[in-house]
Amino acid sequence: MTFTFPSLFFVWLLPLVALPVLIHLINLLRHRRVSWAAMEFLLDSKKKNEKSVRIKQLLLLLLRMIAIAAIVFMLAGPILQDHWSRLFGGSNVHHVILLDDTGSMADQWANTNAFSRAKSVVENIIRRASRESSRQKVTLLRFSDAALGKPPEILRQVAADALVDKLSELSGRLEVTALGAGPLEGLELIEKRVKPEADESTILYLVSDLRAAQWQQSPAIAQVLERLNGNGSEIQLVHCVDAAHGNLAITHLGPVPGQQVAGISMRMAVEVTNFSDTSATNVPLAIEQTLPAASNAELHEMAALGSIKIARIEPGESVTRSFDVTFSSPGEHVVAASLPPDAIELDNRRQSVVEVSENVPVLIIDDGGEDQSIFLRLALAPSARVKTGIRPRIERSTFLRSGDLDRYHTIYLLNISELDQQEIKNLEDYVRAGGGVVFFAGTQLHRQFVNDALYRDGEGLFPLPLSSPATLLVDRLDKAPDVQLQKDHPIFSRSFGDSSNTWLQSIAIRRYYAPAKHWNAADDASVSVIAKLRNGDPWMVEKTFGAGRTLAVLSTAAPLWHNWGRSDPSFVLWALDTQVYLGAAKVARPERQVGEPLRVDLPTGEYQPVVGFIAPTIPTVEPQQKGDLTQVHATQSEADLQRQVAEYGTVLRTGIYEALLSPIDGSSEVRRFAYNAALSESDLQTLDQGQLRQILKDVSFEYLRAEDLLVPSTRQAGFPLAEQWWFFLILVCVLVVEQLLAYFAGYHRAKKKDHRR
Amino acid sequence: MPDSKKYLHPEVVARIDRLVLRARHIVEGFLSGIHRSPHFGQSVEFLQHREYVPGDDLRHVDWKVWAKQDRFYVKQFEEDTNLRTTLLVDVSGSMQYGEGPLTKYDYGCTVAASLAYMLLRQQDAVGCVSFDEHVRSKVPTRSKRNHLGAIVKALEVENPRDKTDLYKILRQVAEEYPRRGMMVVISDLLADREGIIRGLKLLRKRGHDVMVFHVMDDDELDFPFNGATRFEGLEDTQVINCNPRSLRDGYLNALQDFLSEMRRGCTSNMCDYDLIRTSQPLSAVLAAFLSNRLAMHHRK
Repeated sequence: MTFTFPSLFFVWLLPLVALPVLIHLINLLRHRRVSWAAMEFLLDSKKKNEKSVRIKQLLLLLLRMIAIAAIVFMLAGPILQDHWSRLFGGSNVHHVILLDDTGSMADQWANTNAFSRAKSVVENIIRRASRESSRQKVTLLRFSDAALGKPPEILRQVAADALVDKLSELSGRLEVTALGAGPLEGLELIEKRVKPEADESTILYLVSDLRAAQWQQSPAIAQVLERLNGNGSEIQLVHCVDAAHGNLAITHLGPVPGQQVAGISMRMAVEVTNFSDTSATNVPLAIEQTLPAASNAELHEMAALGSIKIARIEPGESVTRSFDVTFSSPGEHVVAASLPPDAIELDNRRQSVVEVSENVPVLIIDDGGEDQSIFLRLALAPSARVKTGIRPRIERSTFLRSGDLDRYHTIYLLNISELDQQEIKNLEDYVRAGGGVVFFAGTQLHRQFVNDALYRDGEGLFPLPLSSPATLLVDRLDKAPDVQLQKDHPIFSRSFGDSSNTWLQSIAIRRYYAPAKHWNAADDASVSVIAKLRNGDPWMVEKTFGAGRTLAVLSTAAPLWHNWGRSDPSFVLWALDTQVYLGAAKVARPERQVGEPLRVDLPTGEYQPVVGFIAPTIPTVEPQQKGDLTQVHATQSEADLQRQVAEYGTVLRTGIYEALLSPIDGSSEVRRFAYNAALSESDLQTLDQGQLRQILKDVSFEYLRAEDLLVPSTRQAGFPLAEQWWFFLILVCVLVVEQLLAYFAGYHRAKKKDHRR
Repeated sequence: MPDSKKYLHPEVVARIDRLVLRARHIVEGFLSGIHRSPHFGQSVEFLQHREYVPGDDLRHVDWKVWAKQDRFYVKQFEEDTNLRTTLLVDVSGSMQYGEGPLTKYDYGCTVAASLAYMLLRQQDAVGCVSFDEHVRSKVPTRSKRNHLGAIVKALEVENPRDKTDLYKILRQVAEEYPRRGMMVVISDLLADREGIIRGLKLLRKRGHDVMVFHVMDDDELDFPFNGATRFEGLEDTQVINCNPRSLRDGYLNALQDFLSEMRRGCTSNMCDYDLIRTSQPLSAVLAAFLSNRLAMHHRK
């Protein structure tokens, strides 16, 4: 603590505090002398009251001394030592600063943002340390560096003017990354790399926005802090955000499962989440897409597609809206959605790369006999005028042996009689890699072959063992439809989900392939019966196999064993939906977020081993500028010898990244990747001191607000005690108690009563 | 009557230096408002004639005068002395206290002189004993009009001393004044309490009527002191430095105990007890004396 007028305190305090004692002594000298007769009663009273009178007198003296001391104290202008003075005073100190530069630090309010405050705090710490006479060292580590395994920006450097200069140069480069990371990695790195030295004390500053989501989900943070505590480190949690601010974020943007074919309208979904405490109303959502004309592989321009207004989003809720978009040309197109500005800018825009193909190739294997393939082919691609985007190719089963199956989104096997080992292996590899296969039964389907080669006790592609074709007996008393199915299943929901049509009732099954008697669907978790017959036997059974799926329809594709598809369009809808459902893995692109690595797999021998990566530009800073081109040499993949991998590294900035590939035929190929802000950084709920204490029960730490460490040097740092209302309150209380005590101790003059008549 | 009373306030009385004049002033002032009683004493010694007024006892009508003058006169006789009063006046050190116009000693002496004057005026015999540690002076019981001078002289003392044992004094008085009469004790009673009660009891046993005028100063009864004060004992060497207000409650409690004990002790021994403040008009003391005396008369 310091004083504005120290001499007042140190010179005058003692004499003034001694004043009551002095007055008491003077009073003793000046006392009135009374010659008294009734001494007996006075002595009696004195004897009885001596102890209480003495205590009251001492208390009174003490209170008066306190009151005088408080007044002198107040006049001297006491200033509590601020955090700076306390932290820097004394011996050699190692200041370890862990700076949060993750996405949520972009939180902005009132012309400032959390990160600029954090930077000021860091600058202040280093500047202050450089002014100290004792040896002060500084280590600065960013969350992003820790997450990426990079060394600290500043490691154990002596705080001097050189470091201050370095910091001001560094400060310009320090910016918020879109990374989603917590403090754990940084703390672990500090624990590992920054060992305390013998003659110095360590202060760890965690300069962060202390987001609730990060701290509450990671109990390991408390454990690391506890260990650091145990190593003798003092922990300072510096909170850079004044309060939790409302934030809207686009949390998903991508195509709804369906055919992504040039010239055919496709549906996309966008999800907006409200991370505020209040509901958001009339949220405008702007949608953009790449210009149809911009087929230029290197530059793409965005054009407004329209806007969506979301009427209301309740706090903590997400709302999904879908919109249609048509791309005229095949290739990788970009769709972007953006929200108006709010606390966090990064999550207001989300981009998605949509791969649009010329058509969807599907393979129909029909070994002949009943020519069922025509019926299915007509369902998938009716005519040139009715575009579904699907291009079926009908082949015999031998095609499976040598053909490139990977390019087909789905393979339909109709009434196959037998496949050899190679064909089965190719088919299994295809499904494992994400393909979809549909088996239709028929008269040629051989039970022995299915059970031994395709089912293989649950190891193979086929979901169930078969026994023999059976007839579904007609029961005229039973009014239930022949088929019962999961109406909410994606392949049925469009055709049968709506109960207003009678399509399901009109299906009549005559024959089907009965399953083996011992088979029970519940035994295998990867298998599910999605449609069964009136008698309880399965009709359609689905199985997940690797990344793909297979579907066994225990009936013919054409209406031979049933009447499905003859009188209503439900079969066509089913076929199209099944195609989407099973081919989804082929078109699905993972949503990438900042912090994940960007790597490109290349089949060895098809591409030149050099890949150029173009990072996105910052649109506000360099519009229409092409980003930096980074050439990366592809290396042999360890997992697959047939492939090479070109790795760009971890992505730190949102946007569209382009990989320029050079096939050996001399053409060029561009692959685009949309990297969006980490979802975990959108929730701006922060922790207050009480919650932190609850989470860090066994950790000794100090909670500071950034303002505490951002005192301008022009103002005397500290906390002016005498300007606090509670100080006056205490003083008044002391004076009131003093007066009350003085009254009860008999130091107030009583009115002299006149008894004379 | 109210007009005459105003001259009986201690402030006024204090202006009169001579005790005899003071006594006379008081008694005359006090009696001037009282109706002259028609009851004169019965004696053989004729005093005067007075015209008959209705209500006079017909036995006292002088029929000879009626025969001569055809007027009714009543004969009045000088009454015999039938009351022997001894005034026991405390002149000890403790009686020297007094913040008002009169100290307790002055007040006590004035009361004693006034009573003596009044009694002598009524032809009663009055004696006086002044005492502190010992009996300081004794005046025998006489009813001569000029006896007041002797009493007043006996009350004047120098170098008052402590009183410790009042029993010893009262026993000595009882022995030296064997004829039954009235004993009027004028004191602040600041002595051994048991001794006081025993002494009073002794006087009662010897057949005396006892009347106690307990003289206290206002300050002693109310203890109105403020500020740092050094109390020095009047009768001993004890000294107390204190803040009087802090001890006031305890003091007043102890005083009340003392007063109650004195009152109880007097009442149980059939002694009349009156607490007199030095600020009270002296007429009140005389009135108390007369009413006590009347009460005694009735008791007999």
